[in-house]
Amino acid sequence: MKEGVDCPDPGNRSPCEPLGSVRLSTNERGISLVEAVLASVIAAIAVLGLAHSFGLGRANINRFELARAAFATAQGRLEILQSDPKANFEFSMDSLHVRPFVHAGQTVGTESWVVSWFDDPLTGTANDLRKVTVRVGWQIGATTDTVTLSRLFYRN
Amino acid sequence: MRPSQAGITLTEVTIVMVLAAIVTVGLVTFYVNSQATWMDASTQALAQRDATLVIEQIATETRGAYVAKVSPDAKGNPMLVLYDVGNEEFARFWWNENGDSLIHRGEGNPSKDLGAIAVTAVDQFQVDSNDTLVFVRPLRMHSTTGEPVEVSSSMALYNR
Repeated sequence: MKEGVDCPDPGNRSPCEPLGSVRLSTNERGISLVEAVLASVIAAIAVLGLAHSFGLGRANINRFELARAAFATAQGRLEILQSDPKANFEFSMDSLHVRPFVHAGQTVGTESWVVSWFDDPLTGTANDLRKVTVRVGWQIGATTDTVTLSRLFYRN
Repeated sequence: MRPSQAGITLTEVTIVMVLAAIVTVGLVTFYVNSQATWMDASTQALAQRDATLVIEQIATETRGAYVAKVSPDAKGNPMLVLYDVGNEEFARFWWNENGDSLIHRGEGNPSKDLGAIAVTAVDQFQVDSNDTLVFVRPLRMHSTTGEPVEVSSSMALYNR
């Protein structure tokens, strides 16, 4: 036994530790600063990822609002063409027909359509039908989106 | 006193409580903002779906019509009335502005109110027609969180 050290219960100290010292078992050591910082960084990344996913979801809703409006516009254009005489300029094949795509009072893109001949292979004759392809395009930030619809019309 | 029995000081308690409060406030703010974003997005998606539903419903009925007429209702809002080849009214659409603010559909002659097509409140329902087409421009709704949704379209009378 070392001099000056009280060792009342030698069976619990090995060989004899100073009074006041406590031996820590592995599960009583707590966590180190490095571990705490790492855990914080991982938690922060997880939370930021979650917040980012909410933002992406919201942006998608906005994107699809315009997509729905564009779809309705394209569908409306085909309906207008349906009621037009085929001799009208809107059915001419030598030009790209362009109109502004207006949504909520603002021009957010362009609406365009082209007319081409469609050959029905069963008839044996060429230029059986007119194929109108309407394309509505718009831009949100750096992203360009389009909706494209096609419909076949009788030749005359 | 042995270290394991020393307890914690007031300063330590205060620091821990402040840190815990900061973390809690951050978490609650994040949760509340996330909840608001989710509500906003989902209600707007519902409003968009309802706007499309109304347009599709009007288009479906219009395509079967021989004549479409637009006349003002009692409140001065346009009401779309569709007639078959026998000149009998078979469907009508109107905006119940001072009631539930929804687009209603009526059927038959005399017209019977079949109720609202969709449950999203409408701010504007502008409809017009000519001999061959019906124009809806625009149909403007707002979600329960106030986000506006607008759609315009045209539909042809195929039964002419």
